[in-house]
Amino acid sequence: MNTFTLEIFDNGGRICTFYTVQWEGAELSETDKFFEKYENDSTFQLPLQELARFISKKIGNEMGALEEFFRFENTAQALPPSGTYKVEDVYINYGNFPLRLYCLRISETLVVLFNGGEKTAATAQGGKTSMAFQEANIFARRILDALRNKDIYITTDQRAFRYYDGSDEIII
Amino acid sequence: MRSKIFQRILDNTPKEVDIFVDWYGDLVVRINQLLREQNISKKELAEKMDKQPSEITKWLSGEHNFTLRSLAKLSAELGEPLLEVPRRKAQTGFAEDSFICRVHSFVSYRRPDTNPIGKVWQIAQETEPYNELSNVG
Repeated sequence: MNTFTLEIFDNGGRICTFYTVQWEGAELSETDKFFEKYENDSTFQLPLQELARFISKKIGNEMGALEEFFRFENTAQALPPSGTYKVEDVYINYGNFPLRLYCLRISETLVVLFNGGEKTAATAQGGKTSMAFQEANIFARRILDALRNKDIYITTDQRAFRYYDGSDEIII
Repeated sequence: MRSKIFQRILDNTPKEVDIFVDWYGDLVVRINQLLREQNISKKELAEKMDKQPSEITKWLSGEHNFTLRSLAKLSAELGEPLLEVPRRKAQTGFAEDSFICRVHSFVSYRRPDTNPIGKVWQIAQETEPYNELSNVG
């Protein structure tokens, strides 16, 4: 089975930390692939900037990962005793917002970002993002399994993941 | 710690995008907060506004592209302000990661008594004062 690392994407905000995932041997994390893909595309430059600001400022620094900023994309996965977790996309969706970015929202202070793409269908399962969505589900399931099996844990301040031995190098 | 690619995109983001995202996020949170406080369901709000519940869902998630008219309608239904626009020019300064509003002084203009005692400063009579602070906060 291919392994991936769980890495900090942005922990500069006062409220919420963002993690991302990176396949072993890959040059970029999945979220970096998403942002790099659209960075110089004139069609998506503005929404990409809006999404970036929304993540870093509104969620990361001001309000946290509030439920109203996300949209559930599949059935809940139970993780006793801490509640339920679902793969979601960051729901910055005014006026036919053209991009989806998938994530796993652990709490209002901890979110794992995956990859995403152009929103070409009403649901995540269809259109150009379906591949990214399927992969997001694989990542999410394995992260949740690792938490359930206590291979990784969340720090008491709810702002970081740690490997079972306390290390911040997390391979899943 | 922040991804270099992410930081590069943030560095190239114009201020107007920052302000737009601010307004968008604040509005979505404010509308949802008011509905929770007033214990109004999406279905009830849809009935009040004579709209389909699916359309209200779009409003609450921000999918609706807010217009002044739609915000006014929603504000009227909720009975609470959603937007406040300063009526007088305030000194506004932009900070690195947010914008801040500094109001340095308030001047209240009142017509003094027409008492012909020469050019002396008059203390304005306490007429109904203009409440400058109504625009703050």
